[in-house]
Amino acid sequence: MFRKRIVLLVLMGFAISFHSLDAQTKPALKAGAKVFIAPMPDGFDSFLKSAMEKKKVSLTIVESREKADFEITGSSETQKAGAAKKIIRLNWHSAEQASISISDLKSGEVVFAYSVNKESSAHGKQSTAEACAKHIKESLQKK
Amino acid sequence: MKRPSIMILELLLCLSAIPAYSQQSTAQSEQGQDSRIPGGSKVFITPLENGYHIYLAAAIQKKQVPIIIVTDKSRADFELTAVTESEKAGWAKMLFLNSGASAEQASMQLVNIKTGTVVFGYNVNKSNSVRGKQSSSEACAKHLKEKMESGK
Repeated sequence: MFRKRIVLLVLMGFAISFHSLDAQTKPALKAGAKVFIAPMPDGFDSFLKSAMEKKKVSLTIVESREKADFEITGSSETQKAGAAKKIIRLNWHSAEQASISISDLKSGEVVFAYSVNKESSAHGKQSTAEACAKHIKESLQKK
Repeated sequence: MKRPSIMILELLLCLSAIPAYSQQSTAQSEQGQDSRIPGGSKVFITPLENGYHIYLAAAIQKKQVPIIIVTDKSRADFELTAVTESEKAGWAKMLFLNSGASAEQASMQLVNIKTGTVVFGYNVNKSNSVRGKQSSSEACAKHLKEKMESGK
């Protein structure tokens, strides 16, 4: 009886230590976390901020990197519709691609990353930024 | 019946061969360990001007490659470097092939920071990339995962 208790206690101890180790090694993006959006080429950071507001992503955007828990970095590329696209495909929309990653500032680990490509973006950068925001929100809701 | 001197000579030869064999086998096993990418390894992706490193990070997450991407090189076990090139669809491609997709090519290599060994390298060329850089980065991630799963 006494031995069984000892074995159970030891097993519980192991389980707790493994759980805490797992929690330490895997930083997670949680609702309410403070994020800093690093400046991006073409001002995509501004589009992303607006998109996060519009999609009601439950993260707090801060203007100072020191106050943040996470940092969002990204890049975007726009290709305006050329004459060929307009004449042959009768399409005036631009082609957009963007990619973002969210890293934990303490551990330096990337906790979320997403890329999007729209061959015919109805609202230009706004569309790609909103796609990024939507997927951040989905990732937060999963946890 | 062999002479004792010959027997001693044979014994000495056998004994001298053992360290050479063990050295060879350890060298082989070290080489095998060098080229392996253990699951949960920390990988630093060298930033590229066109932001391709972020596409790679996204592709690695999407394809669920069992590595941890870190933004600090000093915390990493491996370093991933890549180059990429895009060519937009021109008049001829749109007119004759009715395709507006870009042509993409990328190359990546994964280096063990401690040993300096290149443990993985991969090139991809897509003449008709439906999703631009995303497609080429996902091809790289897929093959990295395959390499890890093969355990070689």
